[in-house]
Formats: sequence, structure tokens, C-alpha cells
Amino acid sequence: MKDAIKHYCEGYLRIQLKGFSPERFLNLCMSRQIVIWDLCYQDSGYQFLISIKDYRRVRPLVKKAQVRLKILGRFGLPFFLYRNRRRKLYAAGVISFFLVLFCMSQFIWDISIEGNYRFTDDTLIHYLDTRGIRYGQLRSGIDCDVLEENIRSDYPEIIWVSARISGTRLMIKVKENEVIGSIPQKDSSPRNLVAEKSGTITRMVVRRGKALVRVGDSVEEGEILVRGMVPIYNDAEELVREQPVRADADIYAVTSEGYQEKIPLLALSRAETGKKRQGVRLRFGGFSFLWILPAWGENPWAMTSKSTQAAILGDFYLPLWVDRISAREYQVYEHFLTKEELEQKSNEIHQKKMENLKQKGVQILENSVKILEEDSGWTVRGEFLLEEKIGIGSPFAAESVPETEAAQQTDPSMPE
Amino acid sequence: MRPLFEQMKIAAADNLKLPKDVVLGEVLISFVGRTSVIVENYRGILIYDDKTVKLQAKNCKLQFHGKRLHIEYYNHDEMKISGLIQSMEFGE
Repeated sequence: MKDAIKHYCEGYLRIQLKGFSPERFLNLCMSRQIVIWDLCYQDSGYQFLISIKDYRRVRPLVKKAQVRLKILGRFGLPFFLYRNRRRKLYAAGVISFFLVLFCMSQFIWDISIEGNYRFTDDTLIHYLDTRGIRYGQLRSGIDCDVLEENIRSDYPEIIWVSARISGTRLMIKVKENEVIGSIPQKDSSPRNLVAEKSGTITRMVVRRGKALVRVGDSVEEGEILVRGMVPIYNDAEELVREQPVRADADIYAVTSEGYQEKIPLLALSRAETGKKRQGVRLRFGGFSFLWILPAWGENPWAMTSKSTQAAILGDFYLPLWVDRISAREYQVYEHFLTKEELEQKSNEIHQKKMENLKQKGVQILENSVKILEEDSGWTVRGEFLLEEKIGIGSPFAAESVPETEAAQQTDPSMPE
Repeated sequence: MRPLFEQMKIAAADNLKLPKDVVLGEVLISFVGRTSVIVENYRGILIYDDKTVKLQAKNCKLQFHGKRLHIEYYNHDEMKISGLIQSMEFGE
């Protein structure tokens, strides 16, 4: 390959060799280090290729070996340039192509970010934009070291950054901190635990505070479950004082929850008519050119496009985007829900509610769903019997303890 | 009978396990299937046409027979012949 390029640049000839002693001529060429290649025997003579430079050196050998040389063809760049010496615009076109390519390669046309989970691409690209790094920016204007330092200092959660320019692409690789950056400050202010919902307590573990309820009790929403004031007694079992603490407990209760959602009688459906249109849009900087067949009929069209950025040799991205657009005509119509569709919709609603509850870590003991017919449509009514954690913190000031709470009887059997 | 110096060189190459193509300048022939052959350490071309290539090596002559024989390149050190090679023989 290297030799082929060298020969093309230097220019070479196809020569026909005939005469008294062609083998002698070939040996003489070899001894004088004249390079001959692609030698073949044809029409009772020989044909070979030789560079222009070497061809000028073979004259004495021709006489010595008593052979005759005939030029059959001229190849390579010098001959190409000579043949096209009058085609100035052609040459200008070739030169301007390389010139434009060179100029375009001085800018950044693609920014790729890898390794980011917490920060989206858009966030980081917007950040780069505020730092003056955007599409179309001069490559020489970007200092990768400074950029790395800036990202690290502005985003403490990013612990490692690598920025490099490859072709016309700015590649940024980041590594985010996967462990918690700082230990959260433990809140030790006194509080009670109150019921978030009404229900019957099934199990409880009290770690701190004085429990006011026990397993099997029915509690109302807002009722105090664990008091954040621990009584301290002396040896004579007399109340000395009450110590404010941060009540902490896991209290589970069976609760019920319901929902109600309406489904209209009519539903909108979309049906494709089968008519399609294809088109292409070229985007170059702020300009865009769209080629697509014009729409006909009164129905709306759903359009989807697939965008690709033009690139040469992998990383050499050009500021040219090609969008392939396909449009499909559709009709919108109203129809009454069938029984299957109604069941499917109500099922979807119910499943979604169940998933939401499961995501909260709630155990579903029972669930039921009913579809009620009304004049304006249907109502989906669902009910769940759940076992869930109901204790929620309710802070209070240690000095102003409600009298009712302080006056409540303490039960020695309750855990403290 | 080989000259004494030549015999000594052969003995030295044998005993010291040196490559003979380097020490003695023996011809080195590498076939790639039957379609091409690379000949190293040859001295010159004696006969060449599309059916025969006869080469002079230091200690012998070698002759390739075949069809559409074609010298892809040749220089002072090596030569590459391609085509359909049917036989090769050594001569004095």
C-alpha cells in the first residue's frame, strides 16, 4: 500500500520490452537498483512498470542489452496533473473541499458525556454552555484541564472527570460519587409518634419513648402512639420528673384505603388510515430544509423522525443532521366502551393503585374492586385492607408539654 | 570437491547451528500454495517467459515451470513469482 502510494505520487510507466537479450536487461536493472514491478510475458515481449525517475536511468542499459523499450501507458499524479492542467475550476473545487474540511475540523460539532447517572446530559450540556463551551465552539478555545477542574469544583458529587477532544468531538467522562457525601445530621429534638391513619395495631417495637397503645388497640388518626416524655421515678416510686426524648418505634396497623375513579362512557380512539408519507430534513446550524410530500385530506398526521448526525471516519462529526421523517395519517373517533375495554381499564387503574402501594412498602391483605354504572359513565371503586407502618413524628417543645399528655396514667407493663 | 574454505564454512554452520542461507548464501524458497513463490538469495534471471522462470542462485540453478507466470516484483534480495506453478527443479 505504502509502495503503491509512493509510485502513484512519483508517477510510473508501463513499458514494453523487446529485443536481443531481455533477461540481461532485467539483471542489469537489478544490479543498478532500478525498481521494476508487475513484470509479465506478453505477445513475445515483456511488459513491466517502472517509475519515471528510474526510466531516465535505463538508457545506457538499453544499448548494452540491445533491447527496445516502448511506452504503453503513463500513470500517476504527475501525469494526472499534466492532463488536467487547464481545469482550473476542478482544481479549485478539490482544494476548496480540503480547505472547508480543514476549517470545519477546527470546531466542536459533537459533545458526548458518559458515566453520568445523577446529572442528565442536558444539565451538563447546559452547564458547559454557561462556561462558553457549545456546539460550533473553536477546538483551540477549549482547555480540557481547566474544564475538568471546573466540573469537579462546581459538582462536588462528581469525583472524577476526563475531558478530551477527539476529532470534532468533545468527550467527557465522569464518575459520580456513589456513597453518601456527608453523614446526615441526626435529629435528636423531642417528639411524639402519632397515628398517621386510623386502624388496628398488629405489631409494635418501641425503641425509645413511652408506648400509650398496645397490640390489638384501635387508634384514630392523630392519636399519640408513643409519648416522647419518659417518666423518671425515685426509689420510693414517686415521679421525680419527665425526660423529653425523641420517640422511636415501628408500629404496624391494619388500615383500610379506598379510591374512586370515573371512566367516561365514550372513549377517543385513533385509527390509522394506511396513508403514509416519507421525507427528509437536513439541518445545518440554524438552517433546515425539509423535503416531504404535501399532506392531503383533512385528517391529522402523526409524524416521527429519526435523527442522525453526519460523521466521517468515526469521530469527525459534521454540523449536519439528517432527519428521516415518516408520517402516518390517522382518524380520531369516539366510541362507547365495550365490556372488555371497561374491564381492562378498571383493571389498569386498580393495578396501578396496587403498584403504588407496593412501592411504599405496604403489605396488601385484601383488595376488591367494583364497577358502578352511572348516567355519565362508570365509577371504579376499589378498597384495600393494608398492613402498614402508621407512626409519624410529631415534634413538641420540651418545656410546653401538653397537660393531657403529662397527666396520662403510666402503665408499668408498657415498654420504655 | 568443494574448496576447503567452503567446507569449513559448512562445518561451522552445522556445528554452531547458524542459518545456512545467511552464512552460505543458500537460496531460500517459500511457496504459498501453488500460486506464488518467494525466492530469496538469488543472483540473476536466466530465462523468463510465461511458462518458465529460470534463476541463478549461488550454488545452483532453479527452474519453475507453470502457466501464466508473472514476476510481481524483484530486487537485489528477493523475487516474487505468481501464477500457476506446476513444478520446480534444481540444476547445476
